[in-house]
Amino acid sequence: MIRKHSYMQCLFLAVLTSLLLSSCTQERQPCITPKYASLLLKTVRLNATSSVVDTPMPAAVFGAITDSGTKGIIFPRSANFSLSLSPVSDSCKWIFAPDTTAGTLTDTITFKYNRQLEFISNACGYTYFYGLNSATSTNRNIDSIIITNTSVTNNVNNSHLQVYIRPQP
Amino acid sequence: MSTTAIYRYIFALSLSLLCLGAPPVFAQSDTATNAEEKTSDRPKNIAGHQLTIGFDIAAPVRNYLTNNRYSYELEANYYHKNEYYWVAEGGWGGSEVNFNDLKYNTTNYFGRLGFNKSILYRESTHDWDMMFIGMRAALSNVNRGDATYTVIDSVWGNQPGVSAGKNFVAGWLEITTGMRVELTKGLLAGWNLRGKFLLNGKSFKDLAPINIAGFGRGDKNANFDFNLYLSYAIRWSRKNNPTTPKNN
Repeated sequence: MIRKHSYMQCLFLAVLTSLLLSSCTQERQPCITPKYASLLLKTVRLNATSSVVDTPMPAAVFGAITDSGTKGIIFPRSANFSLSLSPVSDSCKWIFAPDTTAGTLTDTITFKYNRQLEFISNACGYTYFYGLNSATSTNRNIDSIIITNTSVTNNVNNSHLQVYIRPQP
Repeated sequence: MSTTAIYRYIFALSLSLLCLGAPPVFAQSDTATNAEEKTSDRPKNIAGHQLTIGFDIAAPVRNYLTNNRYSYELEANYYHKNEYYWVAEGGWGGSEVNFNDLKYNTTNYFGRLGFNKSILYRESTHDWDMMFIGMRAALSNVNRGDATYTVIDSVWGNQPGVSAGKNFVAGWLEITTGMRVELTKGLLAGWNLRGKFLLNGKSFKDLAPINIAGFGRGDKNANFDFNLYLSYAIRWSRKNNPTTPKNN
């Protein structure tokens, strides 16, 4: 026969479990996905056989030209760089120099794009993804720019631009 | 909804049944032969009618302990026959997201329909204690107010904005197990353990409610929940059953 005191024990345990579960207040979960859309570019050159080869920059300097001034980033020797696009307008400009040596010529790169608001999660909030329309530059160090992928999202594996560096004289 | 999640909930419910059901089963083993004989002779529908109305008393405790959501739940069930109970449940609630870069409120009402099947033998017409398994189909109308957000960008500057409010419909299925015990004449208490599976999760891709009353987190396709009910029963006899003695 089933005893009621067994039920009552179960009931007591259930109340206890309920209170324990309830005491876990709901905090914001950590954001585990990349939150920002990054524009990934690669510096390249054509070699003697007209093949495209990665060309690392010794200490490349990129500077975002913002309303509050230029905000610069110095990268260690690399051919791969990650920049951000402005979420406050449909175009933005970056200056570029291949290294930090005084007197190095700089180029200005202009990006034009469409913005698309994206909700990632409650943990990460909103961000912007971009559809790249054009990338143009001055030609002191840069020969040309080719867009290889127009979709700038939080996928960090896709490269978007090939920046062809002019041969040194 | 992933298959793994379904298996996990079914396993948890099965384990719950085993753990809670095992002691009484072992206690009966010494009288197994008698029990089998009695079972075969046991008349069906010996009990009368019962309508119970209950309130989830765990909800106010949860509301007190959490500051970003609230919910209330009621249930009514009616004893049909052969240990099947028709169940209707309903409730309301809301939640608040209040982060630095994201703020919005949601409110919702919900209703569930389904059945419970008692898995214990009834000892007498007066025995309304039960352990049960059951299923529910549920619908909820979710209202999300305007959401204010800020896209934080340390280089170009922050970009605030507003996402207009929206109404959603959420539908889900539940499997449940639980128990009820009569504490005193007509007053029952017991709990429900529930596995819930959202049917239209894609509706909540954008700004999922942090909590849907009756379901749980809106950004998950499967949730696990618990209710603790205090219920009052109204009973009356079956007119066409001469073997049914007078009930409470």
